[in-house]
Amino acid sequence: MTSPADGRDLTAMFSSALELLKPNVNEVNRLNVFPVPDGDTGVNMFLTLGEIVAQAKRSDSTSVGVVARLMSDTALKAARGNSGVILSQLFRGFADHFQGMDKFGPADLAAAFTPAAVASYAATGHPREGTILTVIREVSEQARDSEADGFATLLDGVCATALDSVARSPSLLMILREAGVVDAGGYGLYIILEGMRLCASGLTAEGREVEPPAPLGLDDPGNELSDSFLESIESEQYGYCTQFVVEGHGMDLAHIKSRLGEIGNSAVVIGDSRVVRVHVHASDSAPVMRYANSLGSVGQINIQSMDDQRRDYSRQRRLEQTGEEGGEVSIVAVVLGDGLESVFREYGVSQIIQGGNTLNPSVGQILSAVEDAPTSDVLILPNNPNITISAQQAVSLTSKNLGVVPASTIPEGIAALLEFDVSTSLENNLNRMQGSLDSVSTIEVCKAVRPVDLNGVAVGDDQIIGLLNRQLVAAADTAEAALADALAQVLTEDSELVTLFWGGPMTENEAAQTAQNLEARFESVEFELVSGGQPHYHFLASVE
Amino acid sequence: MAIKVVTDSTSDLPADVAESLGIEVVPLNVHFGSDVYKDRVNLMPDTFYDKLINGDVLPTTSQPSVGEFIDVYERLGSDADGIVSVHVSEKLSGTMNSARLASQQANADCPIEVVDTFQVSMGVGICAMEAAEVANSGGDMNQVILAARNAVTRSQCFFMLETLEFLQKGGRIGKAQALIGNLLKIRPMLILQEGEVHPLGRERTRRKGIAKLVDTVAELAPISGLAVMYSTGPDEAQTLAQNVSKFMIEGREPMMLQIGPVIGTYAGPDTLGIALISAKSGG
Repeated sequence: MTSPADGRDLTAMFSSALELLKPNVNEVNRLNVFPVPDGDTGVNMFLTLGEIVAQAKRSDSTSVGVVARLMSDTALKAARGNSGVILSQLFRGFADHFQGMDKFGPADLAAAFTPAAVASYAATGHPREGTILTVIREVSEQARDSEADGFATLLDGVCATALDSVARSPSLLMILREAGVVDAGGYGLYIILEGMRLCASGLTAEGREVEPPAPLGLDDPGNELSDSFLESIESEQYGYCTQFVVEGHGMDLAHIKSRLGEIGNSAVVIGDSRVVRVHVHASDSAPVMRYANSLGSVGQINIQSMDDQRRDYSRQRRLEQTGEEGGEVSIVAVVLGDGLESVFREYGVSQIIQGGNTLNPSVGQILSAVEDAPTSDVLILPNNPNITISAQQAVSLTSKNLGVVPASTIPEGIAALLEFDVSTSLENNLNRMQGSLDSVSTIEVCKAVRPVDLNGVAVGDDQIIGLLNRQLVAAADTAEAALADALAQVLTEDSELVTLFWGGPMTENEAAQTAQNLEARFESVEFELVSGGQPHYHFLASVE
Repeated sequence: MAIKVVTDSTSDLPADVAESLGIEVVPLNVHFGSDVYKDRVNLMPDTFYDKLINGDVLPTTSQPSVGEFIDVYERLGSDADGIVSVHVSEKLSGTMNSARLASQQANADCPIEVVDTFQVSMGVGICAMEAAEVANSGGDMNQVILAARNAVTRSQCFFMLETLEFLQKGGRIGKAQALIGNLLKIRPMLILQEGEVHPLGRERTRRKGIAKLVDTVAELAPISGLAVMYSTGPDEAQTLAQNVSKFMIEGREPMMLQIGPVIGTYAGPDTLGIALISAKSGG
């Protein structure tokens, strides 16, 4: 296409775009997950553009200003769906820029993308990035800076930018990451620009297929909608279930209920003028909590995402119905002591095997816990070197995908567990969790089984010993003295926190007294006392 | 005549920076019981944190009124070709709503564009700065709007909190709910994603938390603009700023600033954070 071009050339460009969109409509539809996953983005864009091109072809004007305005006016009436409406704003921007012009050159076309981008954002009340908006904006920025002196070279650059922008869309929009695809509307726009490019280069668009770019930064670049995503959108969004108790004076239940009914729905309010319990569903918990805080002192807050609950429910249901496991990771841990069990469960462990230094579980017990875990990807925290070996044997004996995090003590196991990220893969989790094992030192304090002389430490009858990272380093007549001795050997000026899990051989008062004494002695370090409930160890201590 | 940039006080933009770039900052309100203060107008951060830590009433916040935005838009509009108004994530505050309504109702004699940054604190401020720089170098309305939107996709904002208590009581916890636990002391690490608070991790000590902040900056390098934000610990922030400056492109230095009363209401004392804008165009 030679410069300057006129209104008929503009029509020819969009006619070529329509030609190219036609065989690719289903591919655009297939990727459609945002804002509503209803598979009509391609159709909407095709019908909108079809009407625009049909009207423009009927025009007998050659003025680009007149043709662009006709396209824009048509687009306004013909726009279908979210993507069609945004597409119509592209024509609005072109019409504004070409206003009063008969002919246009590459620089004019380049500049027309800027008002098109601004108008596109203005079309949506809540613009989101990672969509067709980002593509049109990045195209406008590229075109503005382009020094191309021909239509073909200008549109070469524009299309390369658009393709790259579409590929990056999942990095900006979470729903695309979850679904494993690029943005459908952005891809549709890319096809339109590509059609314009072919026309400007003197090539025919007819019958060509345009593959969507592979989504950048995703584990699976296949542009296939993930099963778990499809599962998660079975029902619509319900927001948050918010519950709390308010203590105040002279509260009016009827008024509170009516006010909460305005903010959310399913409001249940019980109590009296001094204490009120509330349960309410709202799309956002923030206005509810703002109102709650205005009533009095708020406690027992529990905010849960009903959408997360629904996803969990549907995953569970699918598991029960089909025996098919979900794609996520669960954790098995070997732990002894009810307090420690609670800690491991709180941070994401689903199966506990009771065992430890004095009670090594069999490979069979480990296998059975792995089989009971709710997912096919399973990580195990053995928390002991011998049990680590058994766990590694279990890897070859199970059909599940089992990863062993070689934690050799309880504190190492907890450090690893805190790195666990439910939203990422077994391999990623294994790396993260392994990497954290040496971020803590472990002290174990227990009664000596027999007198011994080891590592230069002489242990007498009935003495209490301290092990640092499983090496004997201290012996004393009391647990506190053994612990203090071991701490003195490991603490440095970089140490910040000692977590003391106290166990069966002690009472809570004794443990608290020990913690208090140690705090006074090692005053630069913070001490945290937690009930571990382990039977034989006075203390398991984590130093970090 | 030129394009004016407006933001709100959740941006935590230091007064001297706002002044030198000509950015107008509209304050939110902070409530302690029945006492209402204007953020950073008659309630300064140090006074606020003192009341937060030692007082017996927890603060709440409220957005600027539509009328306050109308006043600002009309005052600036009489002497501007356009106004670009850059704000805190709509998912976390009603500020966007007030600004949007005001942009429709004001008699401002010039176009007004309201932009959601999907960020908080200096994540908002850094977008306002990018827009103001284009405005000050003679950019037209469209260029300033697109500069702001470009900044939105390049900006990131993440924090280490000492506790989730304030975020939870303020009803802003969102997806960071996953970090709640009672049995061990945890420093929650949070990141803003698409305008909501998401978990970035959990660390048991501040040293590890700070290391995580540095690692996160490293992953996002090269960086053209960065601010270290603190609520009550300037010394720690100073050290952090020194540790992350090497990830910035040559000739750039990190800013350091205090998180103000509105964000402080939800972040609480001893919060450290980073807001940054990556140097890579678009991605």
